[in-house]
Amino acid sequence: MSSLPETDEDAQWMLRVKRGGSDAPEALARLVERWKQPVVHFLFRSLPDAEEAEDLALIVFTQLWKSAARYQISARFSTFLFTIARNLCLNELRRRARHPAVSLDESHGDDETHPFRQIEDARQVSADELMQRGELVSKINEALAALPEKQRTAIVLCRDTDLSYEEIAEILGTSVPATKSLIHRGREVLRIRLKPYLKTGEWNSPPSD
Amino acid sequence: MKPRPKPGLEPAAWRESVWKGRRSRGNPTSATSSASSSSAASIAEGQNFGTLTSEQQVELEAELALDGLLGMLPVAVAPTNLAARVLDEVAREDRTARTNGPSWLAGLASRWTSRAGLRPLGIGLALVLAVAGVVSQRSLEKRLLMAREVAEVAAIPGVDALRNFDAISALGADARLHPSDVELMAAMGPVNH
Repeated sequence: MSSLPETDEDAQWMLRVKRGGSDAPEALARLVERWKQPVVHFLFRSLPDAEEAEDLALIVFTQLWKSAARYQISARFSTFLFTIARNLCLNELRRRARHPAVSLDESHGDDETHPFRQIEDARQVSADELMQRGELVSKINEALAALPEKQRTAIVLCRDTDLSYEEIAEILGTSVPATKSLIHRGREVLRIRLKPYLKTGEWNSPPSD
Repeated sequence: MKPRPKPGLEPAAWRESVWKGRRSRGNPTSATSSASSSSAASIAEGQNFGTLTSEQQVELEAELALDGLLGMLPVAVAPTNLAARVLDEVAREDRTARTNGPSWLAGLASRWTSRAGLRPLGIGLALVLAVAGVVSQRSLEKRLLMAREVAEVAAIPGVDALRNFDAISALGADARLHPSDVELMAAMGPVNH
């Protein structure tokens, strides 16, 4: 995935959606096509469950349609979109916290040898290697998921999208220095958690967020 | 360039190689390559690694290692039919909004029904309120009845009134008295106070 650089075109399409004329559905479809990959990727990193990320992406773009009346041309479209995505993601995480469910797709307990939704060309790597990679990916995901929501969102948005610090700060509702601090602290926590595992195989389950 | 275990490496050795092998900035997925501008990798590109102090080098290596690890995470691919699904959903919601009357009412109803956990609570609350209403109504009716009875009792002259023989005697002057009453008063004789 490569995040699409935002252009004025996005704002123009969004204004068409806002006006709600006969070309509004077409404008919405264009925006979905342009932004679906960054949004799905962001949701996948935050949840992380590919199917739920897809379902939530559908809700994000439906919500974008409903919230079109609130869109101001002064705000960047990406900020508007990712604010919606983050809020829905937060709702989902809160719902999960209230009603925890065990996913059949996820690796859990002692059986962490099965990476979820990792696509790998089995012709190039052995089963052992796949297992090791799967375990490592599982640990990285676990460490990422254990970060406070703001730190995780800041890291994901900074790393996987083209949003500036100012835009990330707007989405998170914080200042730019605070956003930089969130990213720095989040990365530091990840390093502290992952390094011992990579050095010695030792893993202490991080406290859940 | 994905961090792939070298053939024959033990798990521990492989993990170590993953941590140490990120110096060459392997960013395994294109998904994560775009926005790493803030990462240590970009610093490394702009500076001569050798001019950094040993502490800075360790820090930089750790940052690069973390970048590489984050780059190992799988990438979610957006479904190709997402736009069509969004348009279907939007059209469906529009139809629902038109048939269900005011949107705020529909929103309230859907919010209510979507929170399945609140439904038993609401039903329970309604039952309690209904029972409390019935009990309160019964209690009010009882109190009204009692008040009416007390009022009737209060209207009856007291026992002392029967001792007011003057009044009773005065009744004898009334021509409309029943003859039996006159006989009774004659039998009672003169009144003594």
